[in-house]
Amino acid sequence: MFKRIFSLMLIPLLLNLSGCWNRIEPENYAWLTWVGLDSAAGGKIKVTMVLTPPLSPVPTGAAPPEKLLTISSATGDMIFDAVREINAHVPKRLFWPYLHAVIIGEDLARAGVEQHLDVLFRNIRVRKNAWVFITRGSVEPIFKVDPQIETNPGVLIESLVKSEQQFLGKSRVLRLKDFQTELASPGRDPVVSALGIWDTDKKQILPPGAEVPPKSELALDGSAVFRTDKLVGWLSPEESQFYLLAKGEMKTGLIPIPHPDNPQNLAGIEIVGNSAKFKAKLASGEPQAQIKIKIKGKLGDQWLNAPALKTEEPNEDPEFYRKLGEGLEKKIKAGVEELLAKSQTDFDADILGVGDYIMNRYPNDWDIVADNWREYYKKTVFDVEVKVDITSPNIMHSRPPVIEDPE
Amino acid sequence: MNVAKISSRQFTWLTISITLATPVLILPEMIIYYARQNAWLALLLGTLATLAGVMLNLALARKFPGQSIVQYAQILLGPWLGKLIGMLYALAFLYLTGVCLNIIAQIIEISLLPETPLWTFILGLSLFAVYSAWLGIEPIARANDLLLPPNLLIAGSILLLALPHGKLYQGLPVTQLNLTAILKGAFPPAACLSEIFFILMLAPSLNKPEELKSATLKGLLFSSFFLTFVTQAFLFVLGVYRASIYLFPALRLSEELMFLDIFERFESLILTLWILLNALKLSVFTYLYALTAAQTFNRKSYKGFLLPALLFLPVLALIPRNLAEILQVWLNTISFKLVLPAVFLFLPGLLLMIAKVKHHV
Amino acid sequence: MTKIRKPRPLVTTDQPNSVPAGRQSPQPDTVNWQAPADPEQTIAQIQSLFGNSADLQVHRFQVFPERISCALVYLRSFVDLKELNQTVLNPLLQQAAMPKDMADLARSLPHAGTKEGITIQDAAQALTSGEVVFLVSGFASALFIPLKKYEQRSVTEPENEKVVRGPRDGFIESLWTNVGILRQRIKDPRLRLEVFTLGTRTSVEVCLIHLEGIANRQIVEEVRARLQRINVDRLLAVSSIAEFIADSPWSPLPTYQASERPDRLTSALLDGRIGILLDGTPLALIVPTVFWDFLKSPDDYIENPYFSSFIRMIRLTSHLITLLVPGAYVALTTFHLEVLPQSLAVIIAGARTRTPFPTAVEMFLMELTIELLREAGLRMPGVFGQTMSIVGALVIGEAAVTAGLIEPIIVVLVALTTLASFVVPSYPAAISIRLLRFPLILFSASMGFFGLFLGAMFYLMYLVSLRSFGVPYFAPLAPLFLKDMGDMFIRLPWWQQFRRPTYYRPQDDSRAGPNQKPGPDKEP
Repeated sequence: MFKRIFSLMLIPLLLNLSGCWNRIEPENYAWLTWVGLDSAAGGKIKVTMVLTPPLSPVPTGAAPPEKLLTISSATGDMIFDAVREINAHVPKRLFWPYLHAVIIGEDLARAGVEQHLDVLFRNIRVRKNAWVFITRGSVEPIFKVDPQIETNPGVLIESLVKSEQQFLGKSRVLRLKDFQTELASPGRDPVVSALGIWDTDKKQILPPGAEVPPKSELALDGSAVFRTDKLVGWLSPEESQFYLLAKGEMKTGLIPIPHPDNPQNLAGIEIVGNSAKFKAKLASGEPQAQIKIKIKGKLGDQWLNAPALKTEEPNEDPEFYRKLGEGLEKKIKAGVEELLAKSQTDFDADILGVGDYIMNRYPNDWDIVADNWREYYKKTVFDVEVKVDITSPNIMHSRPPVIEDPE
Repeated sequence: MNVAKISSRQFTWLTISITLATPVLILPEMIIYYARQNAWLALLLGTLATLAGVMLNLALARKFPGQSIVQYAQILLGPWLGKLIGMLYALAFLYLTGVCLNIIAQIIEISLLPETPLWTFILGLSLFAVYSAWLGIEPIARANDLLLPPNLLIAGSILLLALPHGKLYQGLPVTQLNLTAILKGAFPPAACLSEIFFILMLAPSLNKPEELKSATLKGLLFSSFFLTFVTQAFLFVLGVYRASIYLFPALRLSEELMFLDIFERFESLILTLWILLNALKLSVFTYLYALTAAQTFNRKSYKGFLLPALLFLPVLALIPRNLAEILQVWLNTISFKLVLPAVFLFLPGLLLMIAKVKHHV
Repeated sequence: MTKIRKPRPLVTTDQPNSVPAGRQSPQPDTVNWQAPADPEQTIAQIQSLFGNSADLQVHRFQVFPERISCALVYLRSFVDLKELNQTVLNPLLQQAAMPKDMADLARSLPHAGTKEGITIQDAAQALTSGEVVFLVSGFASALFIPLKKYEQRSVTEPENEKVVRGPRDGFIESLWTNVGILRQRIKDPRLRLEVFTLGTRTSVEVCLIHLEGIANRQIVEEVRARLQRINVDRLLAVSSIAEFIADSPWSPLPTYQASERPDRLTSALLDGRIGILLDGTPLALIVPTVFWDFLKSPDDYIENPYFSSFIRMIRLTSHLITLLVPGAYVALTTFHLEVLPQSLAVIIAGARTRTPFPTAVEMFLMELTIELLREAGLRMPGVFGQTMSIVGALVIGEAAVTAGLIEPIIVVLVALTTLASFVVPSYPAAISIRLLRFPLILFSASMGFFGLFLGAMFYLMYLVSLRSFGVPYFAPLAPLFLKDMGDMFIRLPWWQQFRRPTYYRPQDDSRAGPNQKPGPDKEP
C-alpha cells in the first residue's frame, strides 16, 4: 500500500518534466551588459541597455559580428516598467546576471536615485557586483560611443575599472552592493565614479552636451558626491585621489610633489600601499573624527627642471627619503583637509561615513544625534594624520653621482 | 519494539544538523534586526536559555533510561493522559516538519527557481523525507555523517572568503547596550534552538545511553557557536543594514562572493547543498513523528504511520500562501510562542514534577 | 595483542522468505538402494540411470587366482585412461591373493582418495564427478577411484583487472588450482576451506574460504547458512551465487566483490573478509563488501602512498563526474546559467543557436549514442574495430557537430563521462553508475540543481541503508570510522597501518607492530 502510493506520488514529480517551468535555453537570452538610467520628459524614466549577441565557437565561415553592442531603450513610469517596455521590441528574455555597469544620468542622480534602484536591489537575478557610474549630463552619449580598443562591452567595463584601480586611483569605483549599503546608511553619503567620454582626436574628456565624435573611448573622470541619494557635486580626479587615500582604498596611484632638493623640480611618488584607520566619537556633544592614513610609496620619477643635487657617495641618503615622505605627507594632509572642509561646507555630505561609524560603534550616542546629523556633521572636528613610508627609488640611485670632468 | 541504534557521535552530528539547517538561513536576519551589533550577546543569552531547557529535558530523560517521552508519559500519567501527550508530540513533530518544509520550499522558489510552482519542491522534499524515514534513523544518521562535514566546510570557507570584504567596525561588539533590543533578539535563537527537544524521543536510540548528556550538549554548543560565527560574519561583511533588510542574508553573501574575479554566484550550488541538510532534518522529524505515533498507539512498527505523513505533509505545507504568513503566523507565533515552549519546556517540566512527586510518594 | 571482542548480534537486512511447502525445487529422481553383490545387476542399474549415455563405459575383466569377474565403470570423457591402465588395472592383474573385502582391496591400490560406497546413488554421483567405479562380484559395495581429468588452461594474467607492477597470475577455471594459488600466498594452517556441493543438476563444488582467528565468526556462519540455503538446479557463475546470498539484491551497486586476482583475495582474507570460489569459474567472490572497495585496486599498495592517494581521489572524482556531470551541465545551462563565467556562457549560447533540440534532450540522446558505441564496440568482431572508431569519431563527433545537430560542448562532456566511468577499477560498479546518471538528467531537466541533488540524495539514502553481511555499505565514511581513514581516501604507508579495517569486524584487528618506521637508530 505504502509503496504504491509512494510511487503514485513520484509520478507527478517526474511529470513536471513536461512543465520545466524554469528551463530556459541559453540562446533565448538577451545578454544585458550595461544599463543606463536617466530621467525623461514628463517625469518618466528612460532605460537604455546594451545587449551582446552570443558568440559561436564553431567556425561557420561567417565573420564575427561587427559590433558587439546592440542598444535598446524605452521609457516608463518606473525602471521596471521601462524594462518591460523594452521587451516589446526585444523578443528575448533579458538576462541580468551578467550585468556589468549601471550608468546613471546627472538629471536622475540630482533628483534622487534610491527609489529607482530598488528594482535592482530587490531582484535576485540582477548582479550585485556590477559597477555603478554617474555621467555628467545625459547618459545618451555614453551609448553612442563605439569603443575600439576593447569591443566586448562587459570586458571593457571590467578592464576600465581594473586599470583605474591598478594604475590611476583617480576615481572611486563602486559596486552596486556597496552603493546600496552606502545609500541606505543615514550616516554616510556615497561617492561614485563618474564616467565620461574621451575624444581621441582632441585628446580631452568630452564636455557634457557635446556631440560624440566618431573616434572616442570611455573614460573615468573623477567622482560624483551624493547627499543622501541625490547628486550634489563632483570631485576632480585629484580630489578623488585624496578621498581614496583618506578611505585607505587606493591601491596604486601617482602623486607629484615638489622635489625636496630643489622646489623647482618635481618628484612623482608612486603609491604602492595605502591603508587608513578611521575613528569617530561624540565628545561633549561634538563629533570628532580621527583619520590615520598610512602610505607606502616609491620614488616613481624625478622631473628635473633645474639642476639637481649630486652625490659623491654610493649610499642612499635616509634624510632624502624622509624629506620625500614629509613632502607627500604635507600635500596629502592639506588635500584631505581641504576635501573634508569642502564636504562640510559645499556638499554638506558625510563622505567618509563619520555618522555611520558612530552609529555602528556607539549606537546610543547615535540616537542623540541621528535626527540632526547634518548639523552635527558640519561641526565635526577632523584630525588628519598622514604617515608616508618611502621604500625605495626603484632601481636607480635617487641622486646621480658626480662625474669629474676629465679636463 | 526494535529500536535502531546510533552512536553518540552520530547523535551529536544529528543535533548539529537539526539545529543549524534552517536557522542559518533565517535566524541571523531575525537577530540582527533587533540586536544589531550585539547579535552575539543575544545569541549567547538565547543559548543560555535553551541550555536551561535542555537540562530540564535531560533530567527527565535520565529518569527513564531507554524510554521515550511517550512511553514514560504513559507510565506517569496513566494510559489516557499519556496517550494525549503522545499525540501532542506527534502533532508537534508533524507541524514543525510542515513549517520547515514550507520555508525551505519558499526559499528555493524565491532564490533558485522563481517560476516553478511551490508544490513541486514540497512534493519532492516530502517524498524524500518519508522515504528516508521509511528506511529508518540509521541510514539518516549515516547520510548525515556524509553530508554535514562538507556542508560545514563549504559554509565556513564561504564565510572566510567573504571576511576580507568586511569592515571591522561594522561587526565589532559594542559597549553601549540596549537591553530591550538584545532581549528581543535573544528570543528567536532561543526558540529556534529549542527544536532540540527531539532528544526526548531520540534518546532511546543512543547505543550508549550514559553519553546522552554530553552528546546533546556538544551538539547544541557547537551549533550555537557556529550560528554566532555566521551572524557576526554577516555583520562584518554586509553591515547592519543589509544583513537585516534581506530575508536570507546567507544567500546574499554567497551571491556576491567573487572568486578569482571570474567565478561568482554560487548561491544555487551552495543553497541546494545546504538544503540537503534541511532534507535530513525533515526526515528525522518525519521519522520521529511516526515513531511517536507508533509508541502512542503501541504499534510494533512505525512505518504504518508514514502513509498519513505522506498525504498530510504536502497538504500542511501548502496551506501558508506566502512568506509573510509562514514567517509571521506559522513560525513566529505558533511555532515559537506556542508549540516549541509547550513541547520543550511546559510538558517536560510537568512530567518531571510529577515524576519527582511520585518518586517521593 | 589479540583483543577478545564481545560478540555483537549481526544486523543484516537479509530476510529470506521461507519456502512454502509443495514448492520444492527440482530434485532428480534418484535410485537409493543398496548395490547388489552381482556387478552385472549394478551395471544395468547404473546404465539405466544414465540412460545408456554414450560416454558411459564398462570394462569387464577377471582377476585374482579365483578368476573373479570384476568391472570398472567410468565416464570416458572424464577419466584419465592412461592412468587407469597403469595404476589400477596393472596392479589388479598382478594381485596374487583374493582380498578379504573392499577396504582391503582399496589398500592395495596406489590411489589417495579412494573411497568405498554402497549405494547406486553414490555410484552415480561419483561417476559424474569423474571417479571410476570398481565393482567386484561377491562384494556388496563399490570402490570409487578418483581419476578425474579434464582440460584446463594454464595460469595467466587476468584480462580485466590489470595492474602495472603487481603479480601477473590470475584465477583459472579449476577450483583446486585456485586453492593452490591461494595456499601459496597464505602459508597458515588456520586457512579454512569448506566445500559445498551446490546445484541439484550441476553439482558444482563451492569453496568457502576464511582465515580462522581473523574473520568474524558470525559473518562466517551467516555466509555458510546462506550458502547452504541455495536450492537451484544450476550454478554456472560466481555472480549467480552472489545473487542468492548477497544482501539487498535489488541494489544497483553490487554488495559483493568479484575478482580474478589471487592477491586481491589474499588481502581480503587477511582483512577478515570471506572468499567464495566456484569450480569452473575464474572468479572469487569476496564478501562482505563496502562501496569503497570498488575504488581500491591492488596497485594502490604497490605504488608509493602519495601516488596511490592521488589516484584514489581521481577515481572518486571520476565516479562523481560520471554520475553528476551530465545532469549538472543540463542544470547549469538551462537553470543556473549565472554560475558559469560569462565568457563560457556566451560560447555555449553561441553553439546552441544552431542546434534544434533542448539541452536535456541532446544530452540524453548523446549519452545513449555513446552507450550504443560502447556496446557495439564490445560485440563487433575485431576486424570491424576500425569501422567503429571511424563511425564514432568522424560521423558522430565531427559531422553531427558541423551539421549543427549537436553542440560540441555536449560531445566533450559525454566523452568525459565515458572516460571517467572506466577509471573505476571495478567493472560492475562502473556500469551501474553509468546507468544511474540517466534519471539524474531527467531530474536536472525538471528542477535544476535542486532536482539533481534531490535525485542524488535519494540514491545516497538508499545506498547508506544497505548492509553487506552486517557491514554498513558506506563504511567507513557513513557511519564514520575515523580509525580506518588511513586506507580510504588516502593510503598511508604500511608501517602506519597498524589495524585491520574495523568495519569488517575482524576478531583480531592488529595488522602490524608499532614503531616500524624506517630510520637511523637513535643516538644514546
